[in-house]
Amino acid sequence: MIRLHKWKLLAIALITNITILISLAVGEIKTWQQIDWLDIIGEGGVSLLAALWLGFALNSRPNGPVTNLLTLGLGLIFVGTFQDLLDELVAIDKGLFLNSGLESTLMPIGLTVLTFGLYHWHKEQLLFTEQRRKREQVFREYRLQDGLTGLGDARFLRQQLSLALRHANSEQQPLALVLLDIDHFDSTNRRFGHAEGDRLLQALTEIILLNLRRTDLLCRYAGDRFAVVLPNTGELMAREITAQLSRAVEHFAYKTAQQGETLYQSISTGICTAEEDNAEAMIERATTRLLHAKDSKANLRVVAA
Amino acid sequence: MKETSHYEIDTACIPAHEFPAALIDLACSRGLHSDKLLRGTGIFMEDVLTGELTLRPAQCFALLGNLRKLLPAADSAFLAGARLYPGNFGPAASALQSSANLLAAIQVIVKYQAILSPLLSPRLEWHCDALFIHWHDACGAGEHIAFLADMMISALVATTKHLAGRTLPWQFYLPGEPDHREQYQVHWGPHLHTGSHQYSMQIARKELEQTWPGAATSVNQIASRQCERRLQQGSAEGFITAFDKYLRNHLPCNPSLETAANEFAISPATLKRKLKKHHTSFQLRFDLVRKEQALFWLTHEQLPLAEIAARLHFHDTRNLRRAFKRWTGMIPSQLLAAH
Repeated sequence: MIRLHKWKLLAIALITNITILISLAVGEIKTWQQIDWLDIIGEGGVSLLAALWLGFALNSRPNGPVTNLLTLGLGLIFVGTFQDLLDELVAIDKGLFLNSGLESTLMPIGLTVLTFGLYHWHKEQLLFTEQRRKREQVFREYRLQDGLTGLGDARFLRQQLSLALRHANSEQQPLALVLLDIDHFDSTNRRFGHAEGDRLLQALTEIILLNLRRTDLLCRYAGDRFAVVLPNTGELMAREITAQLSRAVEHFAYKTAQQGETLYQSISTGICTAEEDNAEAMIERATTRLLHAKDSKANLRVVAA
Repeated sequence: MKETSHYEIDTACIPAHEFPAALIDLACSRGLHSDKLLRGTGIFMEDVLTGELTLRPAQCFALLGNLRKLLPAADSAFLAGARLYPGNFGPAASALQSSANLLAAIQVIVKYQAILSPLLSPRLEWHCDALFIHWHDACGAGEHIAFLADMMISALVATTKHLAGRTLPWQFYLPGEPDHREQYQVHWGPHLHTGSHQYSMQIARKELEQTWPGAATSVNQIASRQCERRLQQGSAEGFITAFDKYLRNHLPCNPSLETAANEFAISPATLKRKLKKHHTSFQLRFDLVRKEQALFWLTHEQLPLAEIAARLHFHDTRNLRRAFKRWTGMIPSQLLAAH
């Protein structure tokens, strides 16, 4: 990411250089006795931290107006604090603007610009949060995220399902869990390669997300198995939603990256509703039903053949 | 036994385009740069691509270490295993794919283990109406045993499923409680037994001889002959595999470091050094082999404790009980109950 912002970083480095040169031109370097080391450590630390924030912010953001605001704000703060540090090393005439004037103008301007930047970042984040709602609901933990699909993993599922169960119990609401598994996913992997299989999983993630309600949560359990937590949903409603998901997946005409071939998928599902139990028991019951559904599908194929 | 009949942790014996290529491909497909993956392993991508580079097991372990650090996802071992075969294994993969049935396929993997699974060796054990495949260290895998076991079991599950054209009813045994149970459930199947103190898989005898659609007798024979020829030039098993095998076969005469050294035609000091090079020791190997054997006799054959104690040269059953406690943290009655 940080490569995108090399011009911004160069500009800040250039300005910092100019302030060093001007300071050296108008002032005199202090002798060892005149230097106050406590001030050096204090002000140097502030300057270093400002540089670090700038690095983090730029490394995590694409180009755009919000990034420009953040860069400008943090850049001004950095130059201001750096000038403050220079004061400690170079004796500058008290009357000159460079001595204290520069810092006291740069800091407030920088902080104001940064505040604007953060406000817009907040607006932008609200937008993303809405988009990611069905993946994380109201909780975010990047360490529990699956790298391929951006969904929560099995640990995230257990955590969220426990919370949902507790909520459902206290509110006397029903709760359903659906596990779904892509049929013959490994033969797709074998025929078209694992990279294609990975892309298919990403595409199916989007298809499933589009067919869920705002309050539902989709997780990637493991491999080609997904889990959907359906709060305030009874058995009938859960069946209806699962049938919708099945139809959506069956109608999805996935195109391979290489030849543009069309692949159709189907899914097997296991539904279970909350009884007096915990998250682990619910997952287990849904798994049993899912495997049962898979078995009867395989038997059906044998009979049909 | 000849000194040259087994490969060690620093023998250049693993073609980089066979087993290691599966690991490199997985890392690349997950967006890792090959330079980063190969850092510190002494392997260079250009050399791998020539198809003529052979690696030392130690380099493979370094590669595994990098892969696990850079790609800490819970499914890495399962994905690497699922795409291992046919890979680029040449005749060995042909022999595997043209197998007439499950038993023949398993025998190919056991016989040509040095090619198909150079870092972990499978050992077959028959019991009543089932066949067990136990996975053991071949040449000093150390901390990578768990990853390799997950990977090799996934490879066998995926390839036999593909060749049989249906899901096979495997049972799996893991030493402890795994961190990511869901990965095993989805990639292997629902029959997972934890706390079994070993990496094993089990299949019913009746599954073994059902003919597979891809069976091709002459292809299989030719490929097997090619593999034999290759193994005659190199070595067919790892040092640790050979050593464990010696211990297992000589349990009745209570082997020691001296008798083992004698068998391998080296001095006890050299044997000690060799074992240390493979991150293990005589006592560790001896305990491991006795533990596996005792567990099998206890839980599967259901031999009385006195019999097991006599076979393993324990003075009495009390000493054996204490040994069980030391090996597994459980006494025999608890082990039986858990089984």
